[in-house]
Amino acid sequence: MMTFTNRRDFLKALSAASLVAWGIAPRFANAAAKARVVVIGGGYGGAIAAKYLKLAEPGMEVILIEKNKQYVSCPFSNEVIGGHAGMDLLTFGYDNLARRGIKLVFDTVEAIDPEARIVRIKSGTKFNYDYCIVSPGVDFMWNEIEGYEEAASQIMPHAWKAGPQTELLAKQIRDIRDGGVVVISAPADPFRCPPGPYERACEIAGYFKKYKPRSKVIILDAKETFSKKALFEQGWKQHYEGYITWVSGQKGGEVTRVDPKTMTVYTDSGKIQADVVNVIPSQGAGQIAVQAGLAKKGDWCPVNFATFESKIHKNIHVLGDAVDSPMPKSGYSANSHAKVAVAAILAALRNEPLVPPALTNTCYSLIAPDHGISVAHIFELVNGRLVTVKGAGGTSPLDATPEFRRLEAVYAHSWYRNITTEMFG
Amino acid sequence: MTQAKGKLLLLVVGLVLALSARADLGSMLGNTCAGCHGLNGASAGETMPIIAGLPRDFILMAMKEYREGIRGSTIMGRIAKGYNDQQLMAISEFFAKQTWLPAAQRFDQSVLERGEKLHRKRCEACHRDNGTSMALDMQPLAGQWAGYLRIYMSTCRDAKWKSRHPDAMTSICNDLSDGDVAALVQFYASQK
Ligand SMILES: Cc1cc2nc3c(=O)[nH]c(=O)nc-3n(C[C@H](O)[C@H](O)[C@H](O)COP(=O)(O)OP(=O)(O)OC[C@H]3O[C@@H](n4cnc5c(N)ncnc54)[C@H](O)[C@@H]3O)c2cc1C
Repeated sequence: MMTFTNRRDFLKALSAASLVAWGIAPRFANAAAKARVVVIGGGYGGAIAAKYLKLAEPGMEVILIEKNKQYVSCPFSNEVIGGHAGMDLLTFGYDNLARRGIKLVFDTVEAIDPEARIVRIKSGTKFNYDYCIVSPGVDFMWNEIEGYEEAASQIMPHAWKAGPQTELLAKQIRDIRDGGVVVISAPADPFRCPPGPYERACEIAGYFKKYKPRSKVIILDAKETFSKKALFEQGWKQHYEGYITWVSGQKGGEVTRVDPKTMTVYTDSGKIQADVVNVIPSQGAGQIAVQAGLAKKGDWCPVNFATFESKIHKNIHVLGDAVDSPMPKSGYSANSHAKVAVAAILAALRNEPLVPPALTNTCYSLIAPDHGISVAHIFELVNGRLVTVKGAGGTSPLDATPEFRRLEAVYAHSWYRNITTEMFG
Repeated sequence: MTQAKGKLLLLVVGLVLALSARADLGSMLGNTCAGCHGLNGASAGETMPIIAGLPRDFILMAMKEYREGIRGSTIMGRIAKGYNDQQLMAISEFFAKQTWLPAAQRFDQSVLERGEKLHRKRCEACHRDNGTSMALDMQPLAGQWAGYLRIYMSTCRDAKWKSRHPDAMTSICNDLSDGDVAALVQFYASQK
């Protein structure tokens, strides 16, 4: 608890800001009620930011601009690929957010003018803003793997943005011959959802084990290691012996070229003819962030982690996968970023002191329907850098009981229900 | 104490309260929990407990027990280690301030009688008023998610479950059958 040692300190504390609380100073809070915040992107970062702003400051004008009328979640999309769920589990509408008084605009943002503080959408309409929040997710680096241009993703789906791509890959897995080979090409760090490719391999292998027992999954990786590796490898051994092969970058795993016509995948050490090829291309901050000068193409947006304000443009806060950050690029991270940015914007508008940011990440992966694993991170800001709190977080234990694994799978489902209800409920 | 001094003290206390309400460590920290526990702790997932409106000291004790590894968990132990006492207090105060909202869930009429009997015999002494009470810093069981309560009671009964729950719960639950647990859970789901 705060105590004042002398009268001077006491008077200092009794500054304009504190007087507001007593109702005897001009209410800076009105600035928040009168402000206009434009949020670009209604995903894991943007939807939460819009909702928390509106909850905290019902009078504020919050405009959420989103390309698509429905959001399709990447979290749990691997479940669809494994045949455990349908697209309805992934699909959310924005009606509840609109009901809360958030203005929904379904269009693509084409430009941000950070000097004039104006956002322009495809239809030509312009929105001026006091603060802009940018949460556009990732953009793919086409052709970095030779032959993998955007058109190739219709044959070799990435399924790294959920929607038609998820359905396409799910269908290809369903239609594969027994004895077929699936190649998953995993990119170098950093990329959206570090454990995603390995969880996907589990989902596909689980399907094969049940329906196409002679089929196989080969993960060709640009990296030497990956998220929750020991836990995944343990799970593969336990459930999918003979179904999953992982090839590290040094062992020739890095995919350099693909040929969608012949369904061939090339690495430095040879080529593989596959039946289904899932190329996860390398990524950078979503296009609009690059266009607005918040990051270079193929790179991520530098921000001040106390506020998530861009280090390049004032009054623009960047969230989620697009951010250059040591946090994993996950939905949970995006959610966490959003709350810090909202608190910072409110503090600025209300002329209140900044609270130190609290940032966490929790990420579940399903190895089998009754076998879940998780990782948790608690971050703190030390001299402007985000670092994990020592001794906290980490992955599920390697020696966990089957009951523990089963519970983690159960909790994964509740996690998904909670985070999506928090966003869209 | 002179009257003037007393007034000043009151003012200071009031001011400190006002300051702590604004410079809101509790909501900053507490909001990070919502990804799993729901907006303001009102869980929408049937196996995650509703923590909105729980007694402050219950939350604080549970978090400390997770942190020290006394209370069994899958992930909470790893998470609680990230916070010092002051932060755990702020988190607990934040959730205690929220409104407890019973879960909207179905329940199985056919086992309610059995559940109620078991409740009277085993649980009512602490979890008073059919499990609605928060007296003695008990978490309300009435209206809590059945999925969560089932897991909690099952892990209390599981000798292999790594670290123990509060001793009282372990000894009260360990000879309950699966049917008993199901009946109790349904009874609490039916109470609001
Ligand atoms: C297979 C897979 C599994 C995953 N599983 C998990 C998981 O279990 N847990 C987890 O925490 N994370 C998971 N993730 C990661 C998670 O999907 C991302 O980290 C998260 O979506 C990032 O949120 P975001 O707000 O940055 O971007 P997004 O959620 O992608 O949202 C961006 C939104 O912005 C919109 N947009 C982009 N540009 C514009 C524009 N110019 N104008 C208008 N709108 C625009 C897009 O349409 C989109 O709706 C997974 C990812 C994948 C691929």
